[in-house]
Amino acid sequence: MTVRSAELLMGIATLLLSLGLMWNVWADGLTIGWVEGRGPGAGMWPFWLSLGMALASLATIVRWVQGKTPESRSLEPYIANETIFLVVVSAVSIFVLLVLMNVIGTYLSLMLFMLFYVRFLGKHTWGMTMAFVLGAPIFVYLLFEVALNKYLPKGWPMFEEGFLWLDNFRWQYFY
Amino acid sequence: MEAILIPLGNGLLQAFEPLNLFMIFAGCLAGLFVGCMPGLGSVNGVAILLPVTFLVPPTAAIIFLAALYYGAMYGGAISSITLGIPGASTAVATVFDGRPMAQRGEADKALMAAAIASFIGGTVSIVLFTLFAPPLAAFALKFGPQEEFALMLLAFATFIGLGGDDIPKTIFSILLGLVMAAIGFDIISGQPRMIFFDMVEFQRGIGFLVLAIGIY
Repeated sequence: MTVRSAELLMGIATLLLSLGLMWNVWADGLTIGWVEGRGPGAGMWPFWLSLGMALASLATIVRWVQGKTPESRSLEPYIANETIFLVVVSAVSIFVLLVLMNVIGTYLSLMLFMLFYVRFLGKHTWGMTMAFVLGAPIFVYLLFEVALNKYLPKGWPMFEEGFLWLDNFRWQYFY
Repeated sequence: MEAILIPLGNGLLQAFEPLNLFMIFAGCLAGLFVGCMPGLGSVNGVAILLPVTFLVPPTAAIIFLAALYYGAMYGGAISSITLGIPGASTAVATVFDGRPMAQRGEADKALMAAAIASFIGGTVSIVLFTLFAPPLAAFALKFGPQEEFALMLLAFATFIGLGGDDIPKTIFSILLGLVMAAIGFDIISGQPRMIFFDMVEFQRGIGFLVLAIGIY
């Protein structure tokens, strides 16, 4: 994808977004005009501002066709291939981390994420990987649960009971 | 003048207590780390470490958070100069001069210059702010809806003036921000607008803290 085609795609996407917002306001049945004696209707600001957004997107597309901006003339690649790979892999792994946090708990998913990120993506030694795999959950536990007293998600009840053992131990012997 | 100096003197006496001195040290250290990381900024760091107020007396907690903020202001310069990646949004300008200096082998001079500039800037701004805060507050209280509208108009005109040659994109960004502010309940009629996918969280609108952490 070149910078030129990305510019056109973005113009079309913003135009569709603006039209979608206008349709959303109309579909909800909000008053688009001025209500006599009270002020602007509920849908006035979103609708007319989205119309302005649509006009700005149209202006961007027209300027692209005329070739006025330097981006609309440039044929350089938009994103390099290795950058796309890294960004996609990082985004997907963080999303999987978020999903797993609600299944197996924060600490186990954090350990899996560190293992994947440091060893398989970063290709570091096993020593450094183990340091992160063990150190990150311990640091997060000490900072957020012990010091700041925030309860992090522990996942399904099966896994939560395992961590409650640790919390019981802490509250029984340390306070 | 006494109304300013006497509380300031009391505050300075409190700042020299051992716990508060330790909080200054810990806050600056944490702030350096937070500012250095490209993902975290000063606002992020303060928001995440707000629960420190539960652990220590309130004065010490405020001192810690303020020291964190100041540390993050300088910490952003560290990764800007050494890596070329701005650590915080306040350190973007440091990349332009600091990175070429580091590439020439003068990274220590660049870091020292950034530190001294941070110190002088912070000190002067604190002194001016302390002296001018009461009259500024009295003036700001006189702001009515017309003045706030004029402020908004000035802000948008500045965006377009600074936006360069691509005016439609700047206008789009401004209008997108305004439309995002309209999510939630309408003030005048009380009707819900733009509650996407009927998610209840949208009824409160997009929170300022969420935006500050996500964008800054």
